[in-house]
Amino acid sequence: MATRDSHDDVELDASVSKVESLYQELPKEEFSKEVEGKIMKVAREHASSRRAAQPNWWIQFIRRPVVAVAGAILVISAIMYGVQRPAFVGKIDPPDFQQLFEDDGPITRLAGKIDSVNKMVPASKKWNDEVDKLMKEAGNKVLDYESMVVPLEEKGKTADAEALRKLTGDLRQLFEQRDPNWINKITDPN
Amino acid sequence: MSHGDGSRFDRISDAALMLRYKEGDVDAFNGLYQRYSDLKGYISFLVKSESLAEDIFQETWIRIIKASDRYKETATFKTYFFTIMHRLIVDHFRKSSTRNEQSIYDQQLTDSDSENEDPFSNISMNPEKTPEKSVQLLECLQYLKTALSSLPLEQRESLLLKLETSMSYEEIGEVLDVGREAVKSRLRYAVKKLKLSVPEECYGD
Repeated sequence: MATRDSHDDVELDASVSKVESLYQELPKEEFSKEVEGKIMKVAREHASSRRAAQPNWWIQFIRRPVVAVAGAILVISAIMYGVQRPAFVGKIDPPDFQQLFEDDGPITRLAGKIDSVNKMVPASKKWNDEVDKLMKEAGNKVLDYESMVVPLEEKGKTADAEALRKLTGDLRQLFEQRDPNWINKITDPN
Repeated sequence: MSHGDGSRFDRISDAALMLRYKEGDVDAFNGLYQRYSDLKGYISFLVKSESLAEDIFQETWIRIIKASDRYKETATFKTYFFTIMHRLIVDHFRKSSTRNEQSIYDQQLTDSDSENEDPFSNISMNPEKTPEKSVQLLECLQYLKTALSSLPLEQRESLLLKLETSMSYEEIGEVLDVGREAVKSRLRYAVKKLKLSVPEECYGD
């Protein structure tokens, strides 16, 4: 039954298709611009009346972009907060700062070494060796430590700032005693 | 019916344009209108009067505009459009037949006789064809016109819908509110009658 229907369709399609090819030779005619104008006028009027009929349609019109902008601001704020917070917190209390001032941190260790060097006879062989080792270990850190002093003071960590200032001062004094040109050797290894 | 005229709405379906108009986009409506603006020949031939065709075309769009608030994409827009148009045509002939106490089919023949408007009067010579071929084509189109005119309205409308819109039998049935088999039956009769009136050589091969 289905096959017969399908065969019917194919036969009918073929017959219609022959007529269609002739029908397509007929010129396509459009209605006049006047007719188009009348229809478009009705379409515009209907669209306007529909907008006017909606209560506070202009609020809806404005609300969409306002909601979109507010949403965008919220998202951007959240992202900025997320990005900036660690950096901001990092400036106040970077992990390295805390490690610097721990009991077994580099500041404490360096301060201990300076104390022991200061107990030696200046310009003796042992003193020279120890200062050279110290210069090798901390020479290139003096400038970094000095740059941390002011931020620490600004954050109210004056004791740490003072400790760091004393440390870098002591290191400078020892290094200059050993070699007045030490700073150039540190900044320009060649 | 034309699609893909290079406008910015080319890739948007009829239904989507209608939904845009529902949201207030009049340009979308204009894009939709342009797709159905070349139906003058089709409607004129169906109702056998250019002025009546114009009225039916305008009324179809006005109905669509007025109903746009309630438009839902439940059927293809094409089916929706031609269903509204079909109902207007049926209404017209029904009213005319009541007024004149004539049947619908008598009325449509009266229309044809009373208004000497020829929907195919502007058929022109095709410059791509030889003069002989063009003359032969004009003759064939004249045969086609006469044959189509002699078809009863329901057969003519079924056939014209198929030729103009390439709708499926189911879709035509939906427009005309009849079953698929009824559509096929009408088309079979229509094509059979055309074969008797239009010479075989007019069909090309």
